[in-house]
Amino acid sequence: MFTYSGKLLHIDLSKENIWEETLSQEYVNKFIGGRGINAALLWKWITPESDPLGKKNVLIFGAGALSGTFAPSSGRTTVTCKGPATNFYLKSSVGGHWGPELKFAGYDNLIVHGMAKRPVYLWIKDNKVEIKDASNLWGKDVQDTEKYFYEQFGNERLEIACIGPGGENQVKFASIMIGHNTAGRGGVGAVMGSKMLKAIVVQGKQPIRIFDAEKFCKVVLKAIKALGEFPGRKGLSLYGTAGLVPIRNEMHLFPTKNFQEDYLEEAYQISGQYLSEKGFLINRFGCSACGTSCHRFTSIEKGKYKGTKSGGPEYETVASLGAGCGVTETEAVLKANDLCNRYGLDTISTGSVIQWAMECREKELLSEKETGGLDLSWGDGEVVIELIRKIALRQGIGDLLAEGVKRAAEQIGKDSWRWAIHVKGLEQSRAEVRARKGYALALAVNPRGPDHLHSQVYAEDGTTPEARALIKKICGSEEYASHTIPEKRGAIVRWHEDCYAATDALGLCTFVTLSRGYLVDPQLMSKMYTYASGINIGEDELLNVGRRIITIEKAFNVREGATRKDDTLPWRFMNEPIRSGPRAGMVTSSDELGEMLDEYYDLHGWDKKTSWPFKETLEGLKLEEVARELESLGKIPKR
Amino acid sequence: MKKQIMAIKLKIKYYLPFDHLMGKTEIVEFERSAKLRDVLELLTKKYKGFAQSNTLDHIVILLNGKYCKIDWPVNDGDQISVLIPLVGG
Repeated sequence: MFTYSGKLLHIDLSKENIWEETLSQEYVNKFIGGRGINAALLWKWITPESDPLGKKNVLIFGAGALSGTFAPSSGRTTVTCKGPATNFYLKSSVGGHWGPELKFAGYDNLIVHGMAKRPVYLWIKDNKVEIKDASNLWGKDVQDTEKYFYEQFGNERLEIACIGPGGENQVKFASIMIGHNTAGRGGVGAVMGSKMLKAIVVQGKQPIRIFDAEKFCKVVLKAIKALGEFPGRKGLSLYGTAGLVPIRNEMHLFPTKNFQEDYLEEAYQISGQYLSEKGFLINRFGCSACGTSCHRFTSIEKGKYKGTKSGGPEYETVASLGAGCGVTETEAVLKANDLCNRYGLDTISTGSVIQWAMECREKELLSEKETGGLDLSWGDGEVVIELIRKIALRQGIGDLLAEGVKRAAEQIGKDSWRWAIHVKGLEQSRAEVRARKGYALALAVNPRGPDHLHSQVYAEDGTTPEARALIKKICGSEEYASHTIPEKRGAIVRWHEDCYAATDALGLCTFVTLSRGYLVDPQLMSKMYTYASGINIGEDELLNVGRRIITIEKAFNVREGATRKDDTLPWRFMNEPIRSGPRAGMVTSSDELGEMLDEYYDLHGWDKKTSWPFKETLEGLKLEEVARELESLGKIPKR
Repeated sequence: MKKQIMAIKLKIKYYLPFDHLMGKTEIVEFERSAKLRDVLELLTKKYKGFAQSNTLDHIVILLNGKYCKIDWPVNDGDQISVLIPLVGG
């Protein structure tokens, strides 16, 4: 089997049972790899209504189909399970080199079942697999855990996925750390912690075979050349994603103080440009086969946080732990980022629950007694840092916040739910979508909750010729390249969803396929895959695989009880207008969202009343088994 | 009698890496009928390095905080921001 290792690895931690499964041609043809095959495996292995933190949940790691090759930025890995934050489908995408290493070790996907009786780690090396005791590692933070393995095994190609105290304590938004990369969203780290699984260490030397190496090289070099010449790439390399801060701030689209405001006077101090200019940035690094190197490594050389060194921060991190909490002290934001990385916490959700608590305190829904005497005033970096510790260790008010913003609001009650910025239970990425209609729809329908890595619809801004051409292709006219209009957003979101899913299945980074330039487009992607795998696939079929992945993810949620009401937006975005700037007064109203949802469901072949896929839609995508199961549960809508 | 030209003043803010070449901010004057294209032409003439990236596809130009088109008119008191294109997450 070309470009694949050809094997899936199953590990049952309850029974300490390890077995291999041949990767079926049917899975490959229908779902390609990575996120796609993960979604199919999740559908197969999860019993509906299982506890996400119970032994019936499975934790699946999937390397992309092109991971391990030199296709540009092809190191993405998808982690999939039932999500503890939402009780729905969860996937978390992560860069780095872990996925390629899993393939070099002999496996395309790893499925972890059951729950260990004591802390363990997995050691996977060239088709040899061991479950080892990790009692001595339980309680260690991420950096110390990694340090232990490097000292034990001392190998440069060791790849480690591990959790920190956040995952051990089953914080609902705990992450899995892979070096300086993070599978951050939705609590994959909590699921790993519930299984008493501290780390998965992989090492391998097996080659990835390419079907037609000459043609593959030619098309990859064409992609690399196009990416190298594209000016938008330079900014990412120079300043990382945090370089986006001044742009969003100038546009008054930079969420501040829990989305109460969208402009921050001192925002520049937490931007990628500032980190570079003032010497906080000490290194850049990239993922497998990446020529952009958007990741940062930062350090604080003096002051009260002297000695802090960490990967990042990304845009979402400075927006959430910084602006969202009103914090503009650069060093405090870097320290907060470092702590989240050490404890293994998602920076987006962590910042989100902290700023929600700050707003509750401001509105006097939380007393000083309930905060344990902490003064939750906006802009106090030390308080943010202290709250991160309390959340990771579930101490005091941290125990409440560790449940995520939805559950915390349910516990505090009164009006606190109105400023709990989440959908389906997942805290939202720091995107101001009251003025960005397509993005708003994308967040509302995302099966895992509102997130920027599912369908960030850059093209609707129409800022590049490629983006405008794409909008014309999807909508018939460039006039729809405007993010403030709701028309045709269903079509735009659906195309992006298909393309994102295909990108994730191949293991590519969306920065090369779906950002401003749309340079590695579906045609180029399909050629790379065809020459690598020997499976002839065209642009349309590739996007159809993406559609199939989206649909089985949706079906998973339907099986778990999701209906149309779950595809919504935070109350604030539908009811409180943007306060200042060129888009002052804008909201994405419930009616506006409703119209966009109708168009989106129609295009998908899903019922507008329930949001459930029709039987013929599932069968048309060759998801007959899914249709049969949903029908047996009475969850196929009637025409 | 000398014809009086009605001038407008624009504030331009430059972000890294452009501020190395052009400073943080500057005020420029134009005729009332000026368009964004005229502003870009001025900057291209004035700053040698800027000429390499003087289309809206290669840089981000925001007019009063909004993405804009090259044929948009500019008005007195407008703020133009010049930034490098970036995406985020």
